Amino acid sequence: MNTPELLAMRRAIRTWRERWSDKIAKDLEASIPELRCVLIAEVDALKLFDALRTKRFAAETLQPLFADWCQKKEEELFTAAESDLQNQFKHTLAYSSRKGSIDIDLKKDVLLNLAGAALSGVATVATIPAIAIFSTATAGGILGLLGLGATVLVTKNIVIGLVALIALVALTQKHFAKGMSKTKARLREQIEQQIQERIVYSKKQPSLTMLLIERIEETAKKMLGELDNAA
Amino acid sequence: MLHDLAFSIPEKFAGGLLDGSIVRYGTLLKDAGSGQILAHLQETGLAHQLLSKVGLHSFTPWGAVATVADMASSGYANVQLHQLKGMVEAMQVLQYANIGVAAAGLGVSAVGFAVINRRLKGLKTDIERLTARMEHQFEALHDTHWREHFSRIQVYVDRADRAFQLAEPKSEWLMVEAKLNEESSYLAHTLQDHLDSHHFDVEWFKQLTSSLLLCDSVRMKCLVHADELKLARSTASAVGMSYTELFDSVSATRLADKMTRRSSDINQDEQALFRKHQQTAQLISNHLQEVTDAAISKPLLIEHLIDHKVSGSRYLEQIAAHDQNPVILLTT
Repeated sequence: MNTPELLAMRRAIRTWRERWSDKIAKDLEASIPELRCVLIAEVDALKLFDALRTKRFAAETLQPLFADWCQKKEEELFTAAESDLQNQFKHTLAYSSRKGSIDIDLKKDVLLNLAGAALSGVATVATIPAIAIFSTATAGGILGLLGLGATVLVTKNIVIGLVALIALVALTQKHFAKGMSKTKARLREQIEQQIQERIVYSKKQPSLTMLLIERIEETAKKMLGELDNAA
Repeated sequence: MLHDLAFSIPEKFAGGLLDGSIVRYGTLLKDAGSGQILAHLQETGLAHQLLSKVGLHSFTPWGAVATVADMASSGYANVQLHQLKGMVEAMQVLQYANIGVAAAGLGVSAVGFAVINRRLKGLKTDIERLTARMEHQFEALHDTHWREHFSRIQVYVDRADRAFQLAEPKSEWLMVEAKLNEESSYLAHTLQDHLDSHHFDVEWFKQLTSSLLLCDSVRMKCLVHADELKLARSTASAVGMSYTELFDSVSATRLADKMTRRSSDINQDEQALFRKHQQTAQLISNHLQEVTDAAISKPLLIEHLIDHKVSGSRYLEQIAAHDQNPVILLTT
């Protein structure tokens, strides 16, 4: 492959990389309301049992939904990226001589196979840390739900057993509703923060956007390397 | 002796570039239909004069160029303003986003060795200041001997300039090229180390990259002055390959991440800060790609000179003396 062809192919790969880095970031950000809706719907339907064990609720209910959503987005974006790469190459080097075309077509196949393998490898979503819901939402257990402060817990006279507490729940319907509402509000707040961190960006751990863009960049780097080796 | 060399101005190809019948790859203009090379971009001495006079960071790909309007308000002479406006327009015709690229290696450098050395002195001062700041954070930098390297580079460039006074300057230019090759390799490795590290300092990286480009530009200029065009062609290929290895690995996302981690700005949330750094990192990545493409396409310009039996020194004289257009095209 001569220098002008090499430059044309390099440009095609770079254009693809830039377009998809940008597209992934924008698409995921635009899709956040959809994910938020899914997770918040679960929070809205939160039951007393789950409200007492929010960590478990997050792990058993929210996390699978979150992981499924991420995986679906990853597959959707990478399938589209791969197909776009094919189109990008189709429009590259249309001027080539017959001999040149064969050479370039072979090279395109090698690069497309390489891209396909790189993009359909191990799911990125597997490396995203799970949603972590802090238990502070229900730090006071049932008493917390009832709107009673944690300090109440240390008062021996009040903590006289589960039966007494259930009776207390029944007696203080108003406090109970308020407590559930607070728990849900805290969960919503945490989910919002987690979505931003896990999907958009966080210094603490890699986000889905970062990981997917890195896969695109890595794939482009491999293709550019392959191209330069062939030059 | 110059044979069959024809220069034209970027505007000649404006229509074709606009409708897509002509495509620019690096410093090449090609016919999109036939694939034939139509012209090679070449900077002239005027490009550097203009950028230096208006106080921009010339000879770097980072020319964060102020608008012509800003310059007008700063009271620059009308004639300079007019020429600069022409340069901006020419670069737009050629579909460059940043006119700083014009002075970073479009063809063979048209700048004198003495001017390059002044620029190197400025870079050395900047790097010294930045390194002092960074040494608190990056212990590894204590071990670098970049000051010694910089001093050597300046001595070699000075020797290249003084070689004009020699009766037989060729061997001196060849010696300078060989020595600068070693320094260029050191700079490339230092840059690679910085890219591989967990931290990223934008300014330090820019200054060091500019130094590398200047160093390689002097190497090419020495070989062309010495009329060793075949060696110049293979050197240009090696430089292109080196930039490919170095800059292809630059990931805008990773750079933005490193910049965000290092940032001490507590007023902005992480996501907003990351987005802001993404834009900066993307610009850096784009500029590096422009530089890499220019380097990859440079051997073809040298090949054109060889094919047309053009004397290297005469070619350099011509482009340095060109005072009408900052960027010209060597048509094939």
